[in-house]
Amino acid sequence: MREILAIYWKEISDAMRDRRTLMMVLASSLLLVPVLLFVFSTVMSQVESQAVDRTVMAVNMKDAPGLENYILRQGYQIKQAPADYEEKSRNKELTKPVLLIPEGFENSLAQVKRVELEIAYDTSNRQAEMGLGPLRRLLNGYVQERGGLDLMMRGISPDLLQTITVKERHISRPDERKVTITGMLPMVLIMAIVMGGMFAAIDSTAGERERGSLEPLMMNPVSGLQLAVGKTAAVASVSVLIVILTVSSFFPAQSVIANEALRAEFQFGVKDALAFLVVLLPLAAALSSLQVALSLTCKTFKEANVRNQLLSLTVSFLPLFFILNPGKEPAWLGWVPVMAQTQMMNQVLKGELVSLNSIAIALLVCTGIVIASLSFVSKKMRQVVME
Amino acid sequence: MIIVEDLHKEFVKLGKPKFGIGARSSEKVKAVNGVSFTAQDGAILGLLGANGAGKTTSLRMVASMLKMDSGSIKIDEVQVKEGQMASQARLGILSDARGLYPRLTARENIQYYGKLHGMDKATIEKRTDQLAHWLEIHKLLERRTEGFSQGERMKIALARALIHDPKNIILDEPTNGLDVVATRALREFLRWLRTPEGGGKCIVFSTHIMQEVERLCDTVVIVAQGRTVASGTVSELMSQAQENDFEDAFVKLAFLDKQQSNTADSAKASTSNAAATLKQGSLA
Repeated sequence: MREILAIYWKEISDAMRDRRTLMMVLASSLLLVPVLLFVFSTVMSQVESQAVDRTVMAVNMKDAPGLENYILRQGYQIKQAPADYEEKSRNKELTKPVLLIPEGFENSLAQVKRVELEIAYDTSNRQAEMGLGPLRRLLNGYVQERGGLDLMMRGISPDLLQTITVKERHISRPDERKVTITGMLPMVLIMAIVMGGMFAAIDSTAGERERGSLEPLMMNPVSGLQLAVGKTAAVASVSVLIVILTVSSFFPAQSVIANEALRAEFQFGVKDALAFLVVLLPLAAALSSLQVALSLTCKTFKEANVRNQLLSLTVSFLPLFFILNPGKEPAWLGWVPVMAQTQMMNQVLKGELVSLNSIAIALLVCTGIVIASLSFVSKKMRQVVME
Repeated sequence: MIIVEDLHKEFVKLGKPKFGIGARSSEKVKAVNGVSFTAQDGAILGLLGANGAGKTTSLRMVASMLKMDSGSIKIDEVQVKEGQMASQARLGILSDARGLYPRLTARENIQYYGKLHGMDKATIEKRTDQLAHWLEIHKLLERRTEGFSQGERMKIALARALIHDPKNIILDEPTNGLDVVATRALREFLRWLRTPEGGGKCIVFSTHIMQEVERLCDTVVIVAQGRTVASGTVSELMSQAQENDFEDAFVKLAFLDKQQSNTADSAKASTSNAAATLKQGSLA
């Protein structure tokens, strides 16, 4: 036990002194979530501000007094679009689509001619594109009102135009929180685990081989198992540290969310944080032991780096399954590491209770991985030196 | 005391299959083919041999870092098996690869090995101070080993190997890459370790440098083509080879074996061939 502790502390202090990797890992784990949430919430706010912003930019509104009247009645303001609206929309100075009214619009309508209204916007101007929907709805409203009035003038009920109405009914449970972009948080956390432990794992195995320090190390009276346990525990500790930091970065992240709806959706309390930790700690141990096992078979840092990148990539892409198949969650997923954890974290984010059963299954799977990796590493530790 | 009897080790060298398909060709290489020596306590034994003679492989088997095919190794009456730890506690090994941890200070490097040997903190401290005094590395102790010179590295690695005060010390080409000053310091230290005050250690070291052996060793074992071809004191070996110069004696003894086997192998006796090898050897 004393030997294991000695190995553990040596690996920890070695990893903690590797400034460059440490800084990179810490910065990414602390900043990633706040930055992501800030960006997404800003985008959401922009969408909403277009919906809330009740102004219409128009050219030649004087030729359409009827439409002007309708728009004003809906509580919108009308602004004269600048003459160089095309140029301004292209360089994103103008953030709204522009309504173009043809010459003599009202007169043509009175003569029951077919007339066209145009909406000008730049497809690369995202904000302007978002304002398109509300403007279209507004114009459709006017078209319907006009049509209805015309029918009434001819003694026909305008209801005939719309005998079918379509309504939406929401059947989601009221206690279920809406999850939109917070669904990506589990992915970010799992990425943080694999990225965080990777360099420590490589350095304590393949790095040790490359430096030539593994051979002298094996000349000490320590068993392969002691080395395997000490090294894996150290790597797992680094991963766990990253997990704790990333999860705790959720709290300051809440304050930078620039959108009310999202802030309401993303209510992350201490309880949720603890649930996250319960879910993630076994996974961190399992992934770390896999990384150690994977790196030990490599002779150089570079080789181990490539293999670990592959592992990281696979692991980070597994949660994409849920994005591709939202809501579809077969029972066997609970037995797949990473997937099970993603599933449980999503449940926590939705405010659901994670069943003890699924926690136990995930723990069992993770323990299995740790034991398998440890026994592999402890056997391999002496073999690689003898190669 | 280290007793090595008739060590054998064969490596299988795997070649690449042609065009990447088919079975891999395998070639057996006899790295060690009958090495024997006895290293006494309070004495320095030098394992002398050309590059690739099998010195390092033999020493790795003694350090139980490699499985031997046949033969036996005893360290203070403990039989060595590969991967087993009882004999390792009695050994202090300075391997070819110094393998210090660059991000740890010299003291931490030394302490780590002390802890792995199950020593307590106070003992490690005391022993580190002693070694620092003997090896004159007090100034280096608190610095990280990153950027140490070859000589400094060797001293720290040696201190680390000796932290548990082992009775038997193995050094694999310890003077590789060292300058004259560092070599002399190392030589002095080894001589001191041999004395009763130094602990009367049993020291085995491998080298291919003649002067080192001449100046330092009580016993010399000459290894060539994986086997022990001669052993004795420097003067004994010189008289055995009937040469006045130790280098000439070494070349003669190390390559004589080849000449004999050549004559035995082929009745036609390619003496000219053997003479040529001998000549080449002495030129080198």
